[in-house]
Amino acid sequence: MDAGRDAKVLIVDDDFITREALREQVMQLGYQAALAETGEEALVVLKDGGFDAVLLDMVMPGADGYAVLSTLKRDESLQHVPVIMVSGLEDFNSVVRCIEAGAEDYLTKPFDPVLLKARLGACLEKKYLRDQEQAHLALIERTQRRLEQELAEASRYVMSILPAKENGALRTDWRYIPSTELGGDSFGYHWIDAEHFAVYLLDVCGHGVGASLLSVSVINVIRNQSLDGVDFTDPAAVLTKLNAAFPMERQNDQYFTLWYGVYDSRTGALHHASGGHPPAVLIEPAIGEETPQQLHALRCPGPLVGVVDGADYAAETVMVTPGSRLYVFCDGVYELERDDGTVSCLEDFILFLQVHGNCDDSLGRLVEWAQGQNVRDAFDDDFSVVRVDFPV
Amino acid sequence: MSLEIKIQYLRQRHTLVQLAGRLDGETSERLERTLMAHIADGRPDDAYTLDLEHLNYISSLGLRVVLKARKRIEAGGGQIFMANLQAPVAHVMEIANVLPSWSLFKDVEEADRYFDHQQEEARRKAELDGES
Repeated sequence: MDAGRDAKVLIVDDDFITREALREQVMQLGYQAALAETGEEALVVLKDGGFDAVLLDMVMPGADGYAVLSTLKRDESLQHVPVIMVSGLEDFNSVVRCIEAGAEDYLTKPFDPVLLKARLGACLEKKYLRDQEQAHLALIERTQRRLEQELAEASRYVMSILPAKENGALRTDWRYIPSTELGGDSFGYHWIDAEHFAVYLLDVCGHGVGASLLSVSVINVIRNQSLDGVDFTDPAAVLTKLNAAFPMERQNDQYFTLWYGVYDSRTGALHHASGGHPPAVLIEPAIGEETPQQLHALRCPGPLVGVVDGADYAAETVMVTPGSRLYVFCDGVYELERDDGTVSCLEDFILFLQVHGNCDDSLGRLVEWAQGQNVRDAFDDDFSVVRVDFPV
Repeated sequence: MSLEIKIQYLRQRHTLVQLAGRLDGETSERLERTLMAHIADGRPDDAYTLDLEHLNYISSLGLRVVLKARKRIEAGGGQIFMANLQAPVAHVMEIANVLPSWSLFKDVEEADRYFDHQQEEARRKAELDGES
């Protein structure tokens, strides 16, 4: 380390001979030297900045060494410039006072060049290291601020592509609480054509930037229907093609789970397929007193998407009773660690839906239920759920 | 809760990987580093058995590491088995529909006997091919 290169030392002494002797020595050591005759002059010169050390005489008319030192140490911009007090042996008590006030070291007059070299060298190295540390900290802080801004921007983008709520004959609602600024979950729904309504929810393993990038890529492919030769009204074909298009070896070893359903509004049929995803839950309304509400888990099991080369997915079809309600969700909604260390499960969530699933504010109640189950304030995993109310 | 990882050789070319605790976002990176290093140091057609008797939780990130290891091992012609699968982990793997494609064994001894049997069959076949 070359802490001395370009180091600039201020020599403050009212005695001409001492000033010149110190200057000669400082320059012989390879440093730059500047001079000040009085304490007041030193404070003006130091304010201009750029000094790496000060050799400061104790006894001077006007502002003495102690006064100059005290002023330096009160000034935030100068307090880290190391000061070496230069004094006669009879000033030792004053030197101690200055060390206590923040001086780094001292030299006695007549000064020994070897000691000057050693003490000045040590001060300059310490300042150099501190300057490096400050520069690194400043860089880290700037980088941190930039990353936070970029994360916030990415987070706003992810929220902006979440779907608007449908309020026609078919109504939708959703809740999304990412576990970090950027989650690995994404979902959507859209009318493929005048008759077919697609609803889908996917969960990339993990969360954070990497998972979010894949999640957004897949959702955009589905929403924009940009898979060649795929009939997006056929859930099995969609999953088969997505599995081929996103193999985990080409996605930083990330896979995702997906539930994809298509509602045919002409026939009332709901076709669905899934890849490693929890089942959706369809709640059929009670009909009079004879037929109670019924819950159906809609799952046509298929492998995690991106894991099994060449996997063929199958789909199933269920006829939707008018007035039914569908919940599509991720495992973060029900896999919650409780106070006692146990983890709630899908069955607990289905029990919740049996009681609250048909309420108007079921999603609000669901969030409260999940927060009540969870041992921590924040969810460990992304929380996403979509609710679809089919026409009556 | 953390993850304990123990690796030992059952026999030549058959490695036992015992996992205890939680395999989640916090612990999966360490397992990934350990497993990948071991796979890289071994022979391409080695066999591995994951003993999950004391693994009480697996997350999607944990599953990712297991699946990634499997792809690496199988790409080299090796095999990987699971043994002692416990209910909570099995449940997660069932939902993820991972289980059908795995060789699952009741315990480590069963997995080792299966591997030994395979090796014996391969030796006999090699001898017969040599004779003919």
